[in-house]
Amino acid sequence: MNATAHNPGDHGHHHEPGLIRKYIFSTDHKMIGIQFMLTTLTFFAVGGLLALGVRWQLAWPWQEMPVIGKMLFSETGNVISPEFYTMLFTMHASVMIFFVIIPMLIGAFANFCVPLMIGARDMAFPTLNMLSYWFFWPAFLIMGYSFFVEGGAAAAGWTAYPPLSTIPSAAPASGGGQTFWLVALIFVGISSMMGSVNYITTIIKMRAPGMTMFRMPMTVWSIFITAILQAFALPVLTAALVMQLLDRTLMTGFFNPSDLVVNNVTVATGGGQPILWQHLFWFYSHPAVYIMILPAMGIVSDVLSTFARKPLFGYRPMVYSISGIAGLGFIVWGHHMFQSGMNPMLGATFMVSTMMIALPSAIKTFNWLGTLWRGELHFTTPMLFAVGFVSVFAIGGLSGIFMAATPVDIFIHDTYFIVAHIHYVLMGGSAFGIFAGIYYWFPKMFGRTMSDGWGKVHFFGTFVAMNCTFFPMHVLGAAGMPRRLADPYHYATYEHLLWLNQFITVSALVLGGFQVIFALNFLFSLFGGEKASQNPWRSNTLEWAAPSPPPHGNFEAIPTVYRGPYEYASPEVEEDYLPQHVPTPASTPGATI
Amino acid sequence: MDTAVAHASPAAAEGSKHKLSAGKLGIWLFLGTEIMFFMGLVAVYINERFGAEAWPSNYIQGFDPQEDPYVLNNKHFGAANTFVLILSSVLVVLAHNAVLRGELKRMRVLLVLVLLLGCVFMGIKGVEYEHKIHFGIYPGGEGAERMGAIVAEEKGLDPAKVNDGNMFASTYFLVTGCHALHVIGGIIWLLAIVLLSFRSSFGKQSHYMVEYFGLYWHFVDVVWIFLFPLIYIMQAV
Amino acid sequence: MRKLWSLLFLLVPVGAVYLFWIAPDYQWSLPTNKSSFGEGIDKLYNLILWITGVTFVLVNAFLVYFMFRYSAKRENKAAAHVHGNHALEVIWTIVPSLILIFIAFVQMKEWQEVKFQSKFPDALQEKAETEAGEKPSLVQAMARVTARQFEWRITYPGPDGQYDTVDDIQTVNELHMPGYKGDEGQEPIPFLIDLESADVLHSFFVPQFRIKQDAVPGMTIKVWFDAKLDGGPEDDLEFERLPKNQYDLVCAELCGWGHYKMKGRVYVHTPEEYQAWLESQGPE
Ligand code: HEA
Ligand code: HEA
Ligand code: CUA
Ligand SMILES: [Cu+2]
Repeated sequence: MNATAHNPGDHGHHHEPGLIRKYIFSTDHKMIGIQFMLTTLTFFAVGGLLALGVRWQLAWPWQEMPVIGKMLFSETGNVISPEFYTMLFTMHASVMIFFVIIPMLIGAFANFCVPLMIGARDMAFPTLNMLSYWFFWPAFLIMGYSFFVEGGAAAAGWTAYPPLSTIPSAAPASGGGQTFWLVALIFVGISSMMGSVNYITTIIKMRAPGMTMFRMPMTVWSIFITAILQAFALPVLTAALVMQLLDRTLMTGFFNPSDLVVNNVTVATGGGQPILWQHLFWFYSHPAVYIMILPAMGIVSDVLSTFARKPLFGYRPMVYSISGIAGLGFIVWGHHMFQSGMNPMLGATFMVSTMMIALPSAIKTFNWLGTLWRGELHFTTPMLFAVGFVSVFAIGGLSGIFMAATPVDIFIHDTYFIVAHIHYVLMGGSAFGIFAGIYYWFPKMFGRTMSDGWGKVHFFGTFVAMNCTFFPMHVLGAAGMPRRLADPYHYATYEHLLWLNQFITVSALVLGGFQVIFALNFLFSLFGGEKASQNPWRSNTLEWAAPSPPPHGNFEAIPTVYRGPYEYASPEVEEDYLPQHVPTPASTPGATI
Repeated sequence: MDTAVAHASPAAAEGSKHKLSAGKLGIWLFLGTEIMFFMGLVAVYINERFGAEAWPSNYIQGFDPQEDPYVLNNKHFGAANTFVLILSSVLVVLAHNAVLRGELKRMRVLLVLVLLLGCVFMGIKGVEYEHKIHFGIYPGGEGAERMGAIVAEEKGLDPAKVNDGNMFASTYFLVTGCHALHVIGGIIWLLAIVLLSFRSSFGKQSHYMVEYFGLYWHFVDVVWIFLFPLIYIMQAV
Repeated sequence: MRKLWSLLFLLVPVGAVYLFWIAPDYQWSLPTNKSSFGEGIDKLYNLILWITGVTFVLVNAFLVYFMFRYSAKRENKAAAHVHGNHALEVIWTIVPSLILIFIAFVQMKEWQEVKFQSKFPDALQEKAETEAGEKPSLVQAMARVTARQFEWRITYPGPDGQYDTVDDIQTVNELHMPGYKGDEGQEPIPFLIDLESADVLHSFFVPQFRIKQDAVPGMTIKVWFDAKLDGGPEDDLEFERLPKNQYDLVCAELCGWGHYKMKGRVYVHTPEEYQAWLESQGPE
């Protein structure tokens, strides 16, 4: 921390660094952002393929996968074994959450956008920033390696509930894998901690002249609040991970009760409480779900306003809403534990706080609609993903209300209703926000534009296939089909759900196929896309005041900010947009909007 | 640091006469995350400690206090360490004052004293650990189990079902161990500063190095001040 | 062309409502309820379904309409220069918060009934009896359910009403319980279980009874439910898959590789049959 803080070296003079310093061990926030983005996109493919493995088993249980089956599962007669299935969804979720959505939003976008959007030359601590990227690599490597250790990778769910996760004899398939999983997540935690300290400091200290807090774009606001959430929730998870690691390796028993006999092996030590882990885990992981949605919401707000050519509706209520979500986010974790044996009285209070947290999201949804109202909507690819976000996030959010209602949750807890919720908010919410952001900032990042035509094909396919994949899961949940089940049809109650599951799997394959289109579009545009101008979307925020792509040091001269970020259709000027850094006779530096 | 960011951030420059620097803000935030980390650990300790049915208390039949007075958490050791840390915290402040006045020699002496006190702290900790381990009081250790069993039997509970002896050892090593790691980290950091201070470029303007370290060291001290009553005094009840 | 996007978005609410509409015909919705408190849960589910459904349709109606109405013809600076609206902001803060508070508070009674030990039928009965000055009677139907990888071990206390005595009755994966004829106005017969786990977490789930509770090692958690005996033809669809008065006991918490096959069976008997079954199991 200290060592990086006093490193004036690469700051002042904006000379171009050497190749290795430029592309690999770069301290430039833009390069680090791009590194994060390329890495997480790669992992998105990995996580998605794991999901397709899950889907295969649910549609054609115990049947040989064409081609791949022979290569992967020759030991188990070419089919997915139940051990392997548990590993599939555990690693699917772990990869998607910890290696895709979180690092994409607050690694890639936060890094790339924050300094540009507040008019700074770089982050407050560039070296720390580089470290936060390179601390991810041990995590990648350890997690990757864990697939090949004896018994395979972690298989106790992404929630890693003890004692299943702490006692090796409980799950033969997670001999060393679970330990590797824990170590990898500790690295992720350290990396994210460095990142959030950096973002908060940068946003507080490095804003361009005139850039008051209430002139910051929503993307910056949401990253600011997210970083605070992250800084104060994540260390608790790290503490819990350390404890679980000790339980597995050093015979402590924080999460193991006494007198356990698991799989005919007596567990030597204990004295602890399994539910304690759940409290610690959700104390982080509930805020984590907002960590995964707030930046996406910020991006969507910016994109909607830009392509509606209209000021964001209710800027301040939007800011207060994300702050409200963050604050309330710390007191609702118990809604994951209604049926866990936690005191039901506590459950009732957690229900009330959970209901209340839907309120700020409601305000945001209505304000997005307000932004579209009387706008002038240009349906470019980023805009389509942003509007798509509003549509599907509402579904995911509303299904949250069912689960927040404790009596209803008795029935739907741990069913596919939850799986539907997860994917509507994460795939439909966070990932749509990410896609919007990629299409939107691609010109700034690489100086070229992604093909809009193929982008629309990608949107169309993703939107349709994603709804076909995940909406029917509500129905599976209502019929009571439990999650994490390698073979639901083992129960007569769920036999008739088979063909619906097959429909879902086919949709998921189509969904994956459309992501290939995205990947190709991304790669081809990277090298052969149309050259982008400085401000292709005619947008207001400061990143568009820098060249595309911005050089080391970002701006030729630090811009001065005269107004808020959403002055579209302003009567003051001829054009339909009025960038933050452009002075008009009417605007004096001190005036607020 | 100030100079490093100031030119890049006119907003900060505008009001930085009285506001805290980016580096200091960073350190404060870092300490905030550290506080949450220890909150997690202490929450577990409190939960296990006060949820326990047969927590080993001061005097346990079967363990001869004459023969092995260090089995439990000896509050004299704890108190001594508290004193050591508070003293060292004071010395860090003096060292910072010294460097502000440009008295590098004096600063160096004070910092070396802090460093030594840190080592004394670790020494005392080491003695405590050594005794515990000698009697098998560590996670999964035989002594821990025996100790828990004795208390459980005294209270008429089934020793196989309550395993508070092990929990006692686990939480003790977890909480004090994480704290000790922070002390060691501090010692290394301090060593680096002392070595750096021999460079000719080190002067008054480098005072922030001592200041940031000082903030960290106070934090380590404060954590201990919470742990001392929790672990050494309350266990007697 | 530009207007077509709104049609694509229109497909979402239409498809969603359609799917939920036809779902019951394919039994893609709540399985037939068989417990007394299950009705309440179903009512709450449907209440929330209606509230969220209407909200959802409204939100989408506005979204689609705006997309259709305001899609840009050419760049002509047609958008309104509006930053917000205070009155609207207040309305859409207050109305949803009232709805949400309402939803939260209508849950309370049901939640207490199912999960609060002080509201369990045995507790209520005991309270009523002591108030009436009677000696508390024993609850008749009870069992201890111990989950372990990957089976359910069920212990009935036997005639002496005590667990861990010689007259205990043990079964594996078979839970027998008395039911009542709801159609004929019989009183429900509560069944009480002590839920334990021998190793890792499991979860006791009987979809038709709307009951779910995690089994936690180191804890004994009390759970209660009751069961209506099957009656008329409305039950027939499910009989194709399950024999009459039998239900799947599902493990709903990940408990290892065999989680999927941790299947039990619940048998609901008439009270007389249940007595007979208990006696047939008892020691000679
Ligand atoms: C990005 C991630 C994200 C987001 C944003 C949310 C948002 C919410 N979540 Fe979700 N949740 C998850 C990710 C997320 N969740 C995950 C991953 C899990 C599963 C973890 C696991 O077990 O593996 C989970 C599980 C989960 C549970 C536990 C269920 C169980 O295991 O039994 C609950 C219970 O209360 C819940 C509730 C909510 C609520 C109330 C919201 C609210 O914030 C939603 C608010 C939004 C709206 C309500 C929609 C917009 C509003 C309107 C259109 C206005 C009007 C509405 C009304 C008047 C009702 N979530
Ligand atoms: C960030 C979150 C995220 C995302 C994006 C996804 C995406 C998907 N998820 Fe995931 N999922 C979770 C988070 C997420 N999931 C979580 C938290 C759980 C709970 C786990 C648990 O219970 O512990 C879960 C569980 C879960 C289950 C339940 C398993 C079970 O309980 O038994 C299922 C089942 O259908 C599923 C399916 C899918 C599918 C089909 C996608 C699809 O959207 C994926 C689509 C993407 C692709 C198919 C990849 C496409 C890319 C390529 C094809 C490669 C392109 C080539 C190059 C780049 C070279 N998920
Ligand atoms: Cu037992 Cu799942
Ligand atoms: Cu949550």
